[in-house]
Formats: sequence, structure tokens, C-alpha cells
Amino acid sequence: MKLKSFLFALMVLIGGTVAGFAESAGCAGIEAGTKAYNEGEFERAIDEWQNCIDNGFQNADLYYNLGNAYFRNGQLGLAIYNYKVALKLRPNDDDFKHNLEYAQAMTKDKVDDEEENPILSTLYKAHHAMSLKAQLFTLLALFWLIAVVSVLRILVHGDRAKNACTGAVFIVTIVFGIIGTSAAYKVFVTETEITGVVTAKDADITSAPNDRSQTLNTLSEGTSFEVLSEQGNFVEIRLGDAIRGFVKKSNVGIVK
Amino acid sequence: MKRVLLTCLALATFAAARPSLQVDRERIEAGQTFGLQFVVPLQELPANRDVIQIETKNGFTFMGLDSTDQLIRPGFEDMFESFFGGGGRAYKARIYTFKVRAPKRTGQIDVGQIFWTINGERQAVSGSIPVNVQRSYNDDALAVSLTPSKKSIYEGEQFYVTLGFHTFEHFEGNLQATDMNTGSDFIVHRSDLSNMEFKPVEGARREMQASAKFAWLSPTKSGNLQIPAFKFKYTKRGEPKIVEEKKQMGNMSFSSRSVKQESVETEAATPVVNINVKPLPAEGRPANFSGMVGNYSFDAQFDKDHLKVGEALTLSITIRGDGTPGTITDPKLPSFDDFRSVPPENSIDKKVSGGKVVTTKSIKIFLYPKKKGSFEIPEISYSWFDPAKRAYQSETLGPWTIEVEKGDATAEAAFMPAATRPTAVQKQEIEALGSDIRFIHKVSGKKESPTPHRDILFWILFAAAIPFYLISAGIIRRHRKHSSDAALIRKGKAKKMLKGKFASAHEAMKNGDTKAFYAALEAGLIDYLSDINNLEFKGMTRDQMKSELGKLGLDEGAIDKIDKWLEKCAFARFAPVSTTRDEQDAMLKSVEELCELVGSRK
Repeated sequence: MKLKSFLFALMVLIGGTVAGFAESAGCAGIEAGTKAYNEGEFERAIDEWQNCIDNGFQNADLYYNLGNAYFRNGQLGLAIYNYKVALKLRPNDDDFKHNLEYAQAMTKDKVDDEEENPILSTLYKAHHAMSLKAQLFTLLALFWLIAVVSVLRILVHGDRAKNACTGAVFIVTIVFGIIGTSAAYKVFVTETEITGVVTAKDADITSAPNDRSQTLNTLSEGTSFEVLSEQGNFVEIRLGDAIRGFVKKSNVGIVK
Repeated sequence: MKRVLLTCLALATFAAARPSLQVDRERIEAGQTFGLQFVVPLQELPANRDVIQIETKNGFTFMGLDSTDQLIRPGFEDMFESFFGGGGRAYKARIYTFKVRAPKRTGQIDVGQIFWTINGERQAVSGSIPVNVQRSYNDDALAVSLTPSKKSIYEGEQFYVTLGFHTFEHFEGNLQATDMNTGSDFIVHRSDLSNMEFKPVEGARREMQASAKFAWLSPTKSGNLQIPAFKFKYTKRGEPKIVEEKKQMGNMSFSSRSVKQESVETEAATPVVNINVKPLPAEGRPANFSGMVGNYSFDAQFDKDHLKVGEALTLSITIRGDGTPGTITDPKLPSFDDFRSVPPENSIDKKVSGGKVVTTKSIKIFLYPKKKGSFEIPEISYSWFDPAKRAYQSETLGPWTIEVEKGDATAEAAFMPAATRPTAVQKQEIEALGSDIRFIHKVSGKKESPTPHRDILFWILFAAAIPFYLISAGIIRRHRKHSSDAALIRKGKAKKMLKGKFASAHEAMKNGDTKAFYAALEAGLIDYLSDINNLEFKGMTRDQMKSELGKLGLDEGAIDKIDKWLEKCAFARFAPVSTTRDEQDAMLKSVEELCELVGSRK
């Protein structure tokens, strides 16, 4: 009886959690923005969709669409920024990747990509085969599977059944370890590597976070960079090995 | 060099008298006055002589003449010669000292020639007099120059400046540029000076020079513009100083003098360069003048003139010229109303070619025809000012006719008039071509949550698996323990229960109820087996019972005995036989013994 009560409480908890992660809330501006985009009214589409995002409606497709509207409106930097946010929410979407690459090909400042290593490339693909969210829920399921099979192992009498349970736990644990390593690395990257995009026509890189400091370089619209820290109205950035300095927050978008 | 000997003395008269030429100092410095001494033994002086003269050249300036008589003592060489039978005695001589100022330039330079008028006839008494002129230690050891290729140019025209270095004998090194700013009036392309090569200056001791085209400039406005001085710092050897040192050794003191030269950090700067920048002539200026000044070429072409709806048309424009380095303005393009376009691709490249910076701009414009038909694209012009010809130049290309045919079904549908087809389909089809961004997605009404790793509920759910396992394992073990305890109690009560059954058998025996007697025996035996093994045998067939007893470890003999008794009881219950009381007593005893045997083996 007690076991049944415990299992019931657990199901309620799991159900609540999953429902929490799949929270549902609409935004009236989505359809209006789509209509405006289809009519070529890109500025109106931007207003509608941006309004939804500003009101807390987080959706990868919405960011992607907003990126398209900015691209069509000639605002390359904001287009790249929104594609990047969309990819952060859904890293495996081909359309997101295509449009981001297409927009980035049009920027003036570029950092050369490193030569591709086939082994690393394969590992990279495997690493990104599942999104972080999918990996975390898979890990949750696997962990529970290990717990359930372990309980089953206690319940069964025969040696063969017990060995089968032990083998199953061993295999599931290995799978759990592989996915867990990949997910842990993704969480590390998500929490430590923050990128940014120049959203203004150009952005001066200064030697210190103030208006009086020397201008070291100028980045053009759409240039992506690594964000090192935020200091007041300035962001400390790095681009490749050569460029490091501060840019005004108002000239860039930070992909968090 | 203490003494400069003449290579030859012209007159044989003076050959025996050994007249000689010498300078009055070790170092002749540029721009400084020095004494050129002409020494003539008194007995050798010509009788009918007039004033001795020097004719200077190469920038040497005669400043005055002094003469004095002196006793000349023989030097080491003269003593050597007298030892082996030559002259070598001290003699009186007249020394004529020509005060001459050295020119500003340095190197091995001929001073000129000395003449004497004897018997009314002017005669040369010396050949050429080469002396080594060096820079003063107080002067710069580095001379830098900045030479423009043109001093008068048009606004926007390109010119270059040559940077020259000349190092002198007392230059030590550590050359660094401290300011090479060309000001804000020019657009500049600088060259890399790291490969600049210094070469020795011919005829000058330890002097080097180097020069290179340093920068290509283009003025941004007209008027008299200046390129500010470029500044450099370096170290040079300073003026020799006599240093007196005193040393004390016991009660004795020594004094020594030495000449020391210290390194001095110095600055050098180029002179300010003035450039006269003329405005472009207003006469003949085209309406679409690009603003570029130089020698330019312009090309514009389409990659095809026949295509289908849905295909892309590329207009490639290339402009190349030697005007403002790194900058080329775009040509004015016609409006492509019948085409959809995406942002053009621009690339700009500059490289030094033929002593000039040539800038090339490439523009690629991608056009997608909206409908089928024949479209004329108007001509495209580009104009610039050519300073060599002092005239505006213009190049016009086109017009072009583009034939657009029907595309495939979907593409064709895409370019139907907006009144009959929704615009969305048009754009979607265009964007599906692959050379553009992909079309927008349908946004579900669901708010997408970020990754759950920041959600505490997710980790609670994760961690809940551990208490689930522990609690489940605990419950199972407790249940098993409880079951185990119930088996012990049942086993403990087995004999008591058996006695109860046997009492019932006694009662049946007393009453002469044979059927009840066998039923009580059978029930007693089965219940006893069930109690001691904690396994319910009631309801099993005899074969099942035998099998289970075997699994519980009971030996074959005991199992056979139990089976026989159960068969006997079953037979007696369904086909009653008349047995005496003694026989029933014996049977009861036998079953009791069997139960004890089974109980002892468990």
C-alpha cells in the first residue's frame, strides 16, 4: 500500500515537472507579424514579433522569423543576433543554421575558420546529435531506469534474472555516462562562452570601458565575437587572437 | 688622420727641399673651418715669389692665409732615413696656413689646388688635395628626408612619398619612429618598411643610406596642405671628452687622462612637406561624376541574358583604378523594378603595382525576375577625372536585354499577380531556391522553455530516483522479513496443529467413522507438510506435491511414504474399508512417526 502511495506521488511530481517545462502561452502578435512579413511589411513584422519577445514569449521559431524580418529589412546585425538566439534554444535546426551562415557570409569582418579535423568533426556531430534539453530529459529517464531495474533485481528470485538485471544496469549506466559527459560539456559552454553580435552599422573597440579611451579597431555590422565580461555600459570582447577590447552595449547584442 | 700627403708635387724645384702639406687637426668636420698647412724649408723658398694662393672647389671656402716660420724637427721616418745615410737634421721652414671652411656634405672631397706666382708666372705647386670631411659629433648622426613624388596635384589624386635615411659615422643604432602621422588631410596606404635595406655610401667612411616608398596618399581637400614632420629617435656617439682620473696607491697618487665618448639619445625629424592641392575643374564635370581621380577602368556584365522565372541573374561590376587608395565609390545603378534582389556582395582589394596603389572593387548583384517577359536594363555609367589628361573620363556599358521564360509550375505560380495569389507563396518559393535565406517557420503557441538544467524541479525529480530505490528496496526487504517470520511461527505451531488433527482422528475412531478417520489423517498430514514448509500443499495434485517436496529437499523414501499414505487415505475415503480399531491405532501411530521423520529432516 505504501509503495503504491509513493509511486502515485512520484507520478504526480513527474507530470507536474513535464507540464512545467512545456508551459503554454500564446501571443497575438505572432500571426499579425507573419501576415505583415508575407506582405513584405518587414518593419511591421519586426514590431509585432519583437513585442511578443519583449513580453516574455520565448520561442526559437519566433526568434528565427524575427531574424528573417531583420534580414529582409537590411539590418544584418540584428538578423544574425536573432538567428543565434534561436539556435541557442534549438541547436539542431537546419533552417536556423542555414540562415545564420547565409547572413554571416555577408558581414565585412570575418575570422577565418580553423581547418576541419575529420575525427573532431564526427565527434562534434555526435555531440550535437541531441539538443541539451533532449539530453537532460534522456538522462533523467535513464537514471530512473537504473533505479527501477535495480529494484527489479531485488524482487526477482532466480540467478539468471538477477544477472540480466545487473547487465542491464551496467549498459544503461555506460549510456548515461556518455550522454552525461556531452550534456555536462554543453552546460559548461552555455554557462561560460557567451557570444555577441554587432547590431549597429559599426562599433568601435576601445582600449578601456569609457568614451575617452583610444579606439583600437572598428567592427562592422553583423560581426560575431566572444563576450568576456560586462562592465557598466561596455562589454569586454575578443575576436580571434588579435582583437580584444571594449564595445558599447548599445552597439551590440549579447546572446545569452 | 694627422697628415695628408700630396700624391705628387708638381715642381721638381721643391722636390729636393721636401715641401709638404698637412692639416692642423685630426678630424675635418662638415661646415667647420680648418687649417691646410703648406710647409716649405726656408732655404727652398723661391726668390722672386709673389703671394701664395689656393683655389678651392667642391664647396670648400677659403677664409684667410697665415704664415709663420718654425723649426721643424725630424720625425721617426726622417731619423730612420738619416741612420741609413739620408738627411734628417732639424731645419727652419715657413708654414703657410690656409684657413678653409669645409662644405656641409661629408666624404672624401678634393679641397682644390695651391698656386704660386714665381717670376711673374703662376705655377701650381700641388695636385688635388683630397681630405675626409666628417660630420661634427654635435651634428645629427642621422638625416631623414621625406620626398613627395609630386608637389602639385589634384584633389583626390594619388601620390607617394619616399622616406630616406642617411646615417653618419657616429650613428650607433636603436632607430625608432616616434611619430609618422600624415595628418588628417590625406587618405593613406602605408608600405611595410621592415625590409628596407641600408647600403654603404660610396666614398664616405662608415656612412649608410636607404630609401623606400613609404606611403601613398590622396588629399581629401584642396589648398596648401602639409604632411607633418616624421620624428625618429636613435643613439649616436657623443663628442670626445677628456676625462682625468686620479688614483691613490699607498702614499703615491697617479693621475691619468683618457678620451671618452658616451652614447647620446637624439631625435631626428623630416622637414614638413608642403603639397599644393588643386581643386577639380568644374568645366566638363559629368552629372554622375563618381568623385574618383586617377586612371580607372569600369566593367559591368550579366552572367546570362536568358533565364527562367525562379532562377537568379548576376550583375558583376568591376571598377579598378589608382586614385584614392582603398576607396572606390559605387556607380549609380538603375532601379530593377522587375526583379527582386538580395543585398549585393561587395569586395574591395588594393595592391601596389607599378609604383602605385591600385584599388579594385567588385560588386555582385543578384536579381530574381518576378515574371516572364523581355526586360531592358538601362545602361550603367561610371565617370572619373584623369589627372594625366586633365579631363573627365566616362565609361558607359549596356543597355542589356534579359529574356525571362516560364519557370516550373510552382515558380510560375509564385509570380502570378498579387491579386490572384497570396504574396507569401511568392516569397516562399524564392527563398526555397537555396541562394537566399530560408522561409519563416510557423510559430506554435507554446512558449519554449530554456534548457531545464537551471530548474530546481528538474534536479529534484532527478534525485527522487535515489529515495525511490531506497524506499522500494526497504519495503521489499521488510515484506520478505515479515513473510519469513510468519513461516517460523507456522512451523512452530505445526506439531500442535497436527495433534489437533490426530485428536479428531481418535474421535472418529472412537465413533467408528472410518471415512472421517481417513479424512482427518489426510488433512493432518497435508497441513503438517504445509506448516513446516510454509507452502500450501492443499489443492495440489499428488504429482505436484511430490515435485514440490523434491524441490524442498526431502529424500525419495520419505516422499514415497507420504505419497502412499495420501493414496491410501484417498482410496479409503472414496471406497471405505472396514478396519479394526487396532489397525486404525497402528495406522495413526505410523502417520505420527512419518510426520516426526519429515519434521526432523526439515
